[in-house]
Amino acid sequence: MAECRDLESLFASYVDGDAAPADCAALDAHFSSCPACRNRVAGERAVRAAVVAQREKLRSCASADLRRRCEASRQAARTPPPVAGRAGVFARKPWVPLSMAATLVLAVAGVFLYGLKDGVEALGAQLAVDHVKCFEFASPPTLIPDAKQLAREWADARGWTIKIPESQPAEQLELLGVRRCISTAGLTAHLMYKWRGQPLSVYVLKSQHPRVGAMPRLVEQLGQEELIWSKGGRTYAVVTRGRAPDIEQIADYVQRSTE
Amino acid sequence: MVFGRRPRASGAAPAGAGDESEDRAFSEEALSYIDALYGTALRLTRRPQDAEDLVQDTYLKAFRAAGQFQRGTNLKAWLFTILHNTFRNMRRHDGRNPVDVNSETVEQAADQTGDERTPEQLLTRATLDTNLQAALDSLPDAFRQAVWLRDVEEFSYADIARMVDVPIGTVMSRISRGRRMLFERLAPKGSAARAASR
Repeated sequence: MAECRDLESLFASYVDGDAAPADCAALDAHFSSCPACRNRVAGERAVRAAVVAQREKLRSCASADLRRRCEASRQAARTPPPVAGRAGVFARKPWVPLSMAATLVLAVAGVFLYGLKDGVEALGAQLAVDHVKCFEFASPPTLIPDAKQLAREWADARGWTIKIPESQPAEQLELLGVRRCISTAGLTAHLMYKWRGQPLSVYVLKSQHPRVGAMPRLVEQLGQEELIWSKGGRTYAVVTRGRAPDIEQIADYVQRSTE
Repeated sequence: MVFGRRPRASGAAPAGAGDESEDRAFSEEALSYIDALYGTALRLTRRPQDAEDLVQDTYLKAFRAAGQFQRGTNLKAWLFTILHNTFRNMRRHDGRNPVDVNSETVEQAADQTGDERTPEQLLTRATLDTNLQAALDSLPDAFRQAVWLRDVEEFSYADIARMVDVPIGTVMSRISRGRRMLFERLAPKGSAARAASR
């Protein structure tokens, strides 16, 4: 009925006890002659009562790890950024170690500047900031992760597959875990490693980046050195702290492991 | 508690670098909502890992934009607005539709009678055996969000409208329809429709 549809928008406030007196009167008058609406509102009221009664049960608790990470976000945001805006800050070495907050600020500007000229450099800047951010906030794993298991879990959760290079004790390369990279629109797998005691990331982009070719390209962004290449419809990047002489060796291992 | 921050003048210190005690109070109040944010993020994403990422991203943005928070307004609602905006952006980048609404489904009710119990009686018996959380999770996104934000997190219609970026009337309609759909899921099959249609 047209009248039922007209009054429907008032049902929520009626059930919540927030409807204006005139609206309540109009609804009461309607309900006296419309059992369908009367029962519908009774059902909605019963649902509301059930949800409210179980409100505490329905709520979830954040983990201690998440609390710690969010606390760390607070500290990072509190750190004042350095003087920014000079193009040279982005371009030249030696890189002066920056605080987390400064790195984030510079990365935004870096992506903007390089995005106008070079898509690979812009991608490198995005990945560099994600690399720094994630290692700043991530907790070390409590168990040694199994690469194959992680790959299966990733495929189940995300709907696309990745190959995860395993730890290489001889190279002091240790797999720490895998997470989805929000900074790159959530379509990138971030494989986290420790290499010779330093953070090392391997990024796998779900689709091939249009500016990245098969030949690995060396990129230096935000104090990080990166090798970026595409293969088999995916784009890969290895990211670690600047001036790593053997980064090609690690990239080669990643290439072989992901074939 | 509704926490207030002084509006920051242009060119003033960056967010988080203001008065120490004020910043600490702001951060502490913001972090006191972490469970509520996580619970809501879990309803939105349905995956604990994604929910944690969403909450962490929300706090990063909130702390960096702390200077923009308006004195005297609702900090919890402000954080939830950031959470929903961040979620919408994530979904957009994922290539998924942020809101999948089929309002017509709630209009389908059998035009039959036969069960003489009231809706309250049906639901009371049903909820003894039925997992309310599972029923909530089964609702389409838009209706689940509306019911959750209203009945669990107790936000006003206006706050919810700002968070999900739709008119207040739409929020009220979604709450009503979401409750009705929940009733249909919780009450014994067949009897809910009959009761609702009487």
